[in-house]
Amino acid sequence: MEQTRIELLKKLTEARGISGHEDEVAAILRTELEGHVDRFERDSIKNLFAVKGMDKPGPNVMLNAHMDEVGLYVTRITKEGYLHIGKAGGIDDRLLLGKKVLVGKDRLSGVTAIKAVHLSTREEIETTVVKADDIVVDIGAKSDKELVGKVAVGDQITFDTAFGTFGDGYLVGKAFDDRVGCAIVAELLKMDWPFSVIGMFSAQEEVGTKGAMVGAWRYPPDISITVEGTIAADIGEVKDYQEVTSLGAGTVLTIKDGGMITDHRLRNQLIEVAKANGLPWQFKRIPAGGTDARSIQLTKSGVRALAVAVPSRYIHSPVSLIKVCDYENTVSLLSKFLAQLATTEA
Amino acid sequence: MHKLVEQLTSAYAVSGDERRLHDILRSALDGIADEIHDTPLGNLIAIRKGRSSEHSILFAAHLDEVGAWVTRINDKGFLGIHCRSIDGRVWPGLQVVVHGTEPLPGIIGLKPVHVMSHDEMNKPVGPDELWIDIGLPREQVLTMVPIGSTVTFTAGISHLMNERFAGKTQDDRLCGVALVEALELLKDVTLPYDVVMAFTVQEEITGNGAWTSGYFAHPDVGIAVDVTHADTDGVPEHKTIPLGGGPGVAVGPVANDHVLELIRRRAKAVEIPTSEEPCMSYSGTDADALQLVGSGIATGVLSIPLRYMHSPVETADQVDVDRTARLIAEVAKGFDAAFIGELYGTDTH
Amino acid sequence: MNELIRTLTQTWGPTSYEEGIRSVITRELDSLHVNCRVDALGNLIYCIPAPGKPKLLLSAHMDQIGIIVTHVDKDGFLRFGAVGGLDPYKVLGHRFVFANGTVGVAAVESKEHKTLEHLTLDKLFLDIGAASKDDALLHVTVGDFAVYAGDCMQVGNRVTSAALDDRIGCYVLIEALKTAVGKELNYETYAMFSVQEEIGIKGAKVGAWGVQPDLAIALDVTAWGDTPESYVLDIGLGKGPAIKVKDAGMVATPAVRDLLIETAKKHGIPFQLEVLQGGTTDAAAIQSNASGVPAGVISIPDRYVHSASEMVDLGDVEGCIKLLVAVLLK
Repeated sequence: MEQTRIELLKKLTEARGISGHEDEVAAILRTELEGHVDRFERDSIKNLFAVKGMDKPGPNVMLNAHMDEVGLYVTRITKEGYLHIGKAGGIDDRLLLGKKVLVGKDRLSGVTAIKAVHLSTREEIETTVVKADDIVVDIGAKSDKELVGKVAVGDQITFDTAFGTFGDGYLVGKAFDDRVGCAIVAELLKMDWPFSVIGMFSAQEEVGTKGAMVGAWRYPPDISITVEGTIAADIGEVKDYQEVTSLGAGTVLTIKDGGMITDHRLRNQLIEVAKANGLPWQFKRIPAGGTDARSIQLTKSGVRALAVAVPSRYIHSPVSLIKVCDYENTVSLLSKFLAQLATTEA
Repeated sequence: MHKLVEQLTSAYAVSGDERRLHDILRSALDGIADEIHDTPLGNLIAIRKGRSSEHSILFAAHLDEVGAWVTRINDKGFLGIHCRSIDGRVWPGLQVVVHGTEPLPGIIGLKPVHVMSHDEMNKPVGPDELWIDIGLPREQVLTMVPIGSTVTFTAGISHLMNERFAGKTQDDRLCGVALVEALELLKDVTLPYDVVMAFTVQEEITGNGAWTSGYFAHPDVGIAVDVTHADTDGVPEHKTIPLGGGPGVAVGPVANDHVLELIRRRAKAVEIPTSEEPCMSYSGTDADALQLVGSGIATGVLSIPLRYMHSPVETADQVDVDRTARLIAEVAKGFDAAFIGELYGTDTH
Repeated sequence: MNELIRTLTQTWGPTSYEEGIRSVITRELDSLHVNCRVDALGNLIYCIPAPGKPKLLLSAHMDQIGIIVTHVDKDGFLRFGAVGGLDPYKVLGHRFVFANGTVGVAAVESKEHKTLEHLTLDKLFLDIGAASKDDALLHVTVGDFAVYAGDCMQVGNRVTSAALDDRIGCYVLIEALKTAVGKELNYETYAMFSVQEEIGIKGAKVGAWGVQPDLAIALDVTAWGDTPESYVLDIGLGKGPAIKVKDAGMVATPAVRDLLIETAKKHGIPFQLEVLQGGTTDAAAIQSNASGVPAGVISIPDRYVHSASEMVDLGDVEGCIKLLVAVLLK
C-alpha cells in the first residue's frame, strides 16, 4: 500500500477518541484536508464538516464517516487508585480481560485486571463471564490522591493497539470502524468535483448515530454516502451463511441493515460502475447493525442514502483486521461513482 | 530498569523451547560468572566460585513461559489450540504470536453478536471455540505452522505509574533478572562457597528442570526465586502480599528452618522489607522439586510480588525486583561456614 | 370479490420497493385529476388545495413486510433475513414470491422440527425447487426481496389475504378520495401513500416534513381480540372502525380522537376504541414533526396481522371510508 495512505491510516487508527472525545481525530483530519476544502466547521455535538464547492450546480453530495471509536471510560476511582470502567459503545464483555489500555488526557498506560488463574476456581473460569462493571484498570497508582489532576471520572480509556501490516495483505490495528471510513472520505475530499461536496465526519455514532442526525439537518444533502468499517465474520467455524462479509471480496454494499434500506437506484448505479471498472463488491449479508445513514436518510424531506463499507474482522474489540485490497478498491469505486454522478444526477 | 528485563520478558519460550534464551543469558552473565553449563534438558547453570567448592547454594529461576500449542488447522486456515495454566477468558481480543517456522502474529477474535445464540453470549468462549487468525491462506498455514507449534502472548512492556510495569512473562523472567543482578552485585565480593544460579526449564509443566539442576549441582541449599500473588482488587488480602512491599518469603514445610533464618537475618541486617507467606505442602515453585533431589536439599522460596499472573499484563513493581536481587546477594554472602555448621548441626547427617 | 382490494393486495411491494403499488394507485386516482408528487424516499403525496383551511395529512402505507435473501447455499437453498416484523412461526411452511415470479417454500432445519421452541429465522431456509446452486442463481441472488405468496379471497363478508396491512388502509384512502374530491372540504387535504412504514415508520417522517401539516390521521390496521383464547384487546371484526386511543408509539391526540368519535356518532357509524400494546403507525412519526402535529388513527381491525392470511371485515372497511369522508366533507 502506498506510503501516504499507510501514514494516514496509522495516524487515524492510533488516535484516541471515544464518543464525545473526538477532538484528536478532528484535528488530524483538519490538518490532512487543509487547502483541499473551502472551509471547516464544528457544531455543538462536535461533528467536523469539511465543505467544498457549495456554489456549484447539481446535487449536494454528503460524504460521511464517523470519528468516534468504541472504547471504555472511567466511572469511579477507588481509594487504592484502581479505575472502574464503563463501556462507550457496544463491546462484548468477554474481550475486556487482561488488555493494555491508555487512560485519560495524558495517555497513562494501564491494564485491565484479570485475577491470577491460580486464584480462580475451575467453575468460575469455565462458566462465569466477568462483566465490565466488575473489571478495573490498574495504572500502577498507590492511591486516588496521586491521581488528582491526572485522571478523572469520565476520562476516556482506549485500547493500546499499534497499527501495522499483518499476514498476507492485511492491516492490523484498532478502530478501523470507522477510521477507515474517515481516511477514505478524506481521500475523496482531496479530489475535485463538479458539484457541492459536504464532508461530514460525525461524532457520537457509536452511541446512537447522534452526530449524523444533527449534522445532516445543518447541511441536508440530496445524496449521501456513508463509508464504514463493517462486520466480517469469515472466521473460525462460523458457517458460510453467517459470515456477513468476507475480507478480500471487495467493497461492502448494504441493501438492508438493522436501521434502514438504502436507495435502490443509487446502489444499482454503484454496482454498474463497479462492473464497468472490474472492481469487486459484495452485499452485507445480514439485515442487522446500523450506521449514520439511517439518521441522514430521514432528515427533513428525506435523503437518498447509500451505505458502503470496508469489511473488517473483529470490529468493536481491541484489535481488528482489514485487507489492503478492499481499502484500495473502495476508494477507486467511490471516486469513479462520484465522477459519473454529475452526469446521471443532472 | 535493567535492560535485561525487556530482553528476557520479550523473548519467546514456552516449556520445551527454553534454549532460545541461552544466548541472551550467556551474554548477560559474561564477566560475572566463572562457569556456565548447559544440561541435557536445557537448564543453564552459572557458577560463581567461592574460596571453597565444598558447599554451594543454588538459586533457581525458571525460563519457561505459559502458552498454548496448536492442535488443529481448520478449512479457513485458522488455528485451534490447547493450553493449560491460563485463564481461557483472556484470549478473546488478544494479539498473540504463533511460533511456526517463524514467529507469526495472530489474533484471537470473537464471533460478532449477530451470529451468536443467546446462550453463547452469556458464557465464556470454550477452549474448542477459540481460533487464531494469522491472515494467511490455508495452504501457506499448512507449511508454516506445524501442529504442535507454540503460541505465546505478544511481547511489549507498558510502563505504569510508580515504576510499575506490565507485560508478559514477568513470571518468571523477572526472577532471572534478579539472579543476574545479584551476580552483578557480587562481582567484586569474595564468597566463602560457590553460588550457583540455575536458569531452569519446564517449571510450568513438570518441574523437571529444577529436579535435574538439583542433581547436577547437588547444592546444600536451594532457593527457588519465583513470583507470588500481589494485592489485587477483589481478591481477599490474606491471599496476596503487597505490591511494592518487598520480596515474599515462604514459611512452611518447603522452607527449611535454617534457610528461613538465614533469609530473615540478612533481610533485617540490610533493612530489606519482606512479606512472609504461609505455604502448606506444595509451593508451586522449583523448590518443590529441589527439596526432594537425592538425599534432599534444604530449600526456601523468595518471591517477587506479581499481579495478574499468567496473563499478558502481569504487573510488577521495580522496587521489588531490586530488593529481591539485593536479598539474593545478601543471602549468598551469608552462606558461610557458620551457617553450614548450623545447617549440619548435631541433628542432621 | 372487490377487484381493487384484490389488485392492491396482490401487487408485489415489500418495504423500499413500492414502485409497483405506486403505479396501481396513481392509475386508480388518475381520473380525479389531483396533483401529486413523489418525494426522495418514494412517498406518493396528493394535494387537494383549500387555501385558508388547516392542512390535514392523511397517511396509509404502501409497503408490505417481506424477506431478503442473505445466502444461496451449495445446494441451492436460500437463507434469509426479515424486512419488517416477521414471526418465524408465521413464516414456516408458507410460500414466498420474488419480483420475477420465482416462488419458494419456507422450511426448517429438520433437526429443529421435533421441538419448535425458540424458533428463529436463521433456522429457516427457502426452497425454490432448484436442482443446484447454479440453477438457483438463474432465478434469484443474494439481496433479492420476496413477499408472502397467496391469493386474496372473500370469505363470508370478510376478505383474507397477505398484505391487508396496509393495502386495506390504502383502499380506504383511495375510496374516500374518490368520494370527497370535487366537494367542499374542511381541510387542505394531503393524501400520502407512504413508504417504509414496516421498518420504522420512515416514509411518514420525511413525508410530514415536506407537508408541514396542522393535523394528521393515519389509516392502518390494528390487531384483534375476538378469536379463541386471544390476547386481551377489546377489538373485534364487524364492530366498525377502531378509533385509536393509544398504541406502543403514541397517544392519539385527544382532540383528534374526539373529532373522530364525534363524527362517527353524528353520522351513526358504529365504532370501537383501540388500545394497542404492541405496534404503531405512520401517525406516530407525523405527530413529532416540527413543533408537533395533533394526530390520530382510523384503524381497520385485522386478524392474524403479519401473516400470509390476514382477515378484515368488509363492513368495517366501509365504516372506515364513511368516517373518513365525514371528517373531510363539510
